[in-house]
Amino acid sequence: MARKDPPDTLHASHLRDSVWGYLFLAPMFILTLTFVIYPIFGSVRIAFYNWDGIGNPTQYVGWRHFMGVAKDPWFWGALKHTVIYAAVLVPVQLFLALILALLLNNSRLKGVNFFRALYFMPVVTSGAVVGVVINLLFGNFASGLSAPLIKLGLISTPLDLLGSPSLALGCIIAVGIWHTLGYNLIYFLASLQAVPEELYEAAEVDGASKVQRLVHVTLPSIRPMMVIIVFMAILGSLGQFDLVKTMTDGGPYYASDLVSTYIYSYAFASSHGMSQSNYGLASAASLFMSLMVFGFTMLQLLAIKVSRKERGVS
Amino acid sequence: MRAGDNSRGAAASRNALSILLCIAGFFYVFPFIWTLAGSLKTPSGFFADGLSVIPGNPQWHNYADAWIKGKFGLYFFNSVFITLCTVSLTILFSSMAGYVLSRTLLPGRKVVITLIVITLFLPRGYTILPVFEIIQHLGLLNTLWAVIVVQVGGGLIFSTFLFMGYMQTLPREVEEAAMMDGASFPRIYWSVIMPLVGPIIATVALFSFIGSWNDFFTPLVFSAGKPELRTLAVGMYAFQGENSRDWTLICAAATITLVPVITVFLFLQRYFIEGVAGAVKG
Amino acid sequence: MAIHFKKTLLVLLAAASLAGCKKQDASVAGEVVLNHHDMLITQGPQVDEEIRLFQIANPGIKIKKTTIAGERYPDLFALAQKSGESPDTFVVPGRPTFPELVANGWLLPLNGFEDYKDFEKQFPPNCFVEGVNVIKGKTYSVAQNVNIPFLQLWINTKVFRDAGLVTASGAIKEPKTLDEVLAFSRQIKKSSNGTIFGLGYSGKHDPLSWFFWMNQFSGFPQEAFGLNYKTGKYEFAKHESVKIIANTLLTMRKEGLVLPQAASVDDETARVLFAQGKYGMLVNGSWVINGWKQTNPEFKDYTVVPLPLVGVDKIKGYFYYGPGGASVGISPLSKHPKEAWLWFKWQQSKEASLRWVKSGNGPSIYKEFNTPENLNSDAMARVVAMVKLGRIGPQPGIRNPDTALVKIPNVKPDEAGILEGYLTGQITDLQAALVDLDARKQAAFEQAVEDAKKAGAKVSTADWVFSDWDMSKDYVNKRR
Repeated sequence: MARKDPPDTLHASHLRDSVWGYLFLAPMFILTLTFVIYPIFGSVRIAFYNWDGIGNPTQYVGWRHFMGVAKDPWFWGALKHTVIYAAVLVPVQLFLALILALLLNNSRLKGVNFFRALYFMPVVTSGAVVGVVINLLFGNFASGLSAPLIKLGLISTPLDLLGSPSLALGCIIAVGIWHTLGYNLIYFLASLQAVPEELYEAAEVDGASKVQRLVHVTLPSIRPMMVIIVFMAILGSLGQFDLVKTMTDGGPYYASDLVSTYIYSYAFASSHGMSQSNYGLASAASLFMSLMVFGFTMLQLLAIKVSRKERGVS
Repeated sequence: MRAGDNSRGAAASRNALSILLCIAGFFYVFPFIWTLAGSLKTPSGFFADGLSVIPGNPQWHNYADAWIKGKFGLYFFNSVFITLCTVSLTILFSSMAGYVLSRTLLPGRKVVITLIVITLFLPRGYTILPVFEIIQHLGLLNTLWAVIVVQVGGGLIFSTFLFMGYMQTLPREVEEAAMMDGASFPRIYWSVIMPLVGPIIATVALFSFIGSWNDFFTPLVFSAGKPELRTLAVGMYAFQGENSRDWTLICAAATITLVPVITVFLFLQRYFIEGVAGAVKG
Repeated sequence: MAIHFKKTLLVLLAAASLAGCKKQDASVAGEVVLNHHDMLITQGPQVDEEIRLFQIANPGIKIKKTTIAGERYPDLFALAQKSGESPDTFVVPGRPTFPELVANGWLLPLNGFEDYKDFEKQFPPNCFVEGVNVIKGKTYSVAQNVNIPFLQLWINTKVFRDAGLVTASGAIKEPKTLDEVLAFSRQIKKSSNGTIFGLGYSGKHDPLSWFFWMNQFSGFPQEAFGLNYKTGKYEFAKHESVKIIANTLLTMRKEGLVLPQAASVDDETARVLFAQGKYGMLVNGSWVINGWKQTNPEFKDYTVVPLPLVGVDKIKGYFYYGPGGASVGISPLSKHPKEAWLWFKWQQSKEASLRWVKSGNGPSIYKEFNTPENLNSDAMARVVAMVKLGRIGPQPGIRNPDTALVKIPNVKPDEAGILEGYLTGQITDLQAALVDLDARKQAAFEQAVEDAKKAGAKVSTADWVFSDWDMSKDYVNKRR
């Protein structure tokens, strides 16, 4: 998005009109400060207390929650699952979305608008609803899905997709790919439409085949958008919560526990036994994760900058 | 379009592709079809029918039950109100900010842009409790505005980013004439720039519509004391007990929730794709 | 689009603000509206019926019920209190502890009402207990139901008959021990050629809490979730029954005797699959009866027995609960305390309690109502008979109210997690996992006590030690 400042014109007074300028910026600035930035810092204080979310925090525990999270192998396990989730979901989803976008970028295809809406549909549904429906499908009718496999002799007992430590995370990834593919489809469609027609024409004059056109014209042209799409997809998948919560709740035995469900399990105590909610611990875990993601993001940005410089793109 | 696509062979393969996309699409949206069917089943049929998508004896009263007994009429109204306000305010505030950041030389502009980029990627932690306290101080508790300001506040950064990107692509000249005429700052924004950025408005509208409509956590927290403030997403949650769920009503509720979003998408999709394309170019 | 956007925006804003204005509640003059919050789903229809009857008997008072389902009820209740919008009456949340609810000023003492004395008289003994529902001599709530172990072993009698699991006289063979559950499951699998499973449960919504009750029945002197009240130590690793349960279930899974999706299926689906005859034994609670009326109205072939004994042939321990108890409360913020009190008394009345029993929602605190005729279902009568498996257990909260300030965090993995991990094969050394669990739980517990002490609470770990506890008798809790 880097862009040179507009050249100074006679109308610099308008361009520099600070009263109106700041007035126009103010609502965005104030609301963001109040509801995004301040609360992030507000949650920092809580992380130093034992607090069940009711009344005022009084039991100060210092850095203990942070140390606890850093030393907890289950946190690192959850982090590993989160990374796997993102590392599998992002490339697969983007690949599928790109293919679909290439197919749907043909305005002469019958019912192209219908298809676009069709494949966008899961996106407009909240993760919680999707999770509930998928869970019903998998849980109730697992036998229906397994029966043909048993007949073929591929498996001996009906599958318990979400109850199996080796399959649970895979299932969530598959559903995750399906759920948000529509966003990337639209991003790709948009970037394909932004490719200048002349480039294709020139390539055709040179006698390039369809595949060659794709590799040498289409892909390089949508590259800048790709960077943003990858970026957003990674961030989105690192924050995944609704699907996991409703599908497996991190189970079985934490085999699909993500950082988000890890945090949740401390913030809201189970209804069993003597244990209590501990927002302090949850906040610490949440901040710890935030810092890591932030660091990672900054590295990514840096990498993009460096690679851009190398390619000589401003 | 490109030459060569006109041959008969290409047309045939396009038709084949349509059919293929139809079949794949059926499986792709199967969960929705199944939900729709589930909303018309009886509680016993719901489990007995398995994967069937044809309800034997359509139970239309499930919708009436959800609407009246489940108070979905009220929740629908709340959702519409919240979403309308969130979408309008998001568009207004972020286009204003985007305008300043992309088309003026306001001192401190670069600092703000840097902050925006950082905040855009700053993950949101467990911040609902500080947010709750702010709302309390503002005296907005127990009003729908609590949900609206929190949603607007949370989404402005991203939409400002989109507006900024799109507005940068407009040629410098568009304002010149108006400036010559001595048009004021707000006038140029409102009468010159805004009419030119329809696609990105559609994009931001759709994004914030989806976000607001499906938001569960914020309205849940702010309707705790006053159930009259519940939204559809929260209302649906109320059908799920610890040991019992009313699945057919949940399906009916899910369908009620889904229809408006899909309708909005169908209407906005053309502008939406254009808008994203425009923002990308910037 | 480009031209119309402004109009659209203005129309949207106008529509939104109009909509906002329209939202004024039209309430009939002179009518008192009481807001009532609960989290009851299966019992919902009966609550609605009581509201209907109450409104007929008390014209001029309207009850507006809101059900907030599931695990977030306590959190949302707390938020509602914080926002100063308390419902007039409500089902008392399970968190925070009752003394804290009172300390926060969220409950209205009932003693101030004129006829309170008469109200208290109607209840059986042991319903009002200091530290439980009475705080510093003032009553805030009272229980509606009698305590029974709320999970049982449900038997599909058709599956049992088809598998030949009947006695010489033709009655269903009832499993009393876990060994019998295993043997019966094998029999069911064998005679159905592997098409029907022996045991099922919902691992998703009920993370194996029956496991702990089976431990208790077998004489493990723990509070419900692991702390040995005789020693004040977590002792999962010390008790054979824990390992027997884990190993038996593992055997059953390996032999394919357990419903394959048990680990991930939800309560309701598990119940429906049971009614469909997919397996013979289900661990679940008495709400299944009303559940089946909805989803499987034809299904009648079931009966119910207590959870099986483990490693013993005679019961060694019981299901422990606290004396007293709470159900509904009134908010001090209520603008209509008199009307709220009327509604409160209505819900706690003998008549309402009898209707509650008759509608199949479980046993009443008035034991005389819990007769087979009223319960109207053989299975429910059997469940209610299990009241004899309950005993009053030690209550640290009665002994020292400050124990409420001790916030013990969850540990990860917890006991349910470890059992799950063992069954899926993710844990192989059970003993080591249990030793580790005990150590972590102990550390978390002691740390929580330390933290509370530092913040001014007068507590020590000794508050959780009841060396004089006889597991076969009701424990007499005394204030320290």
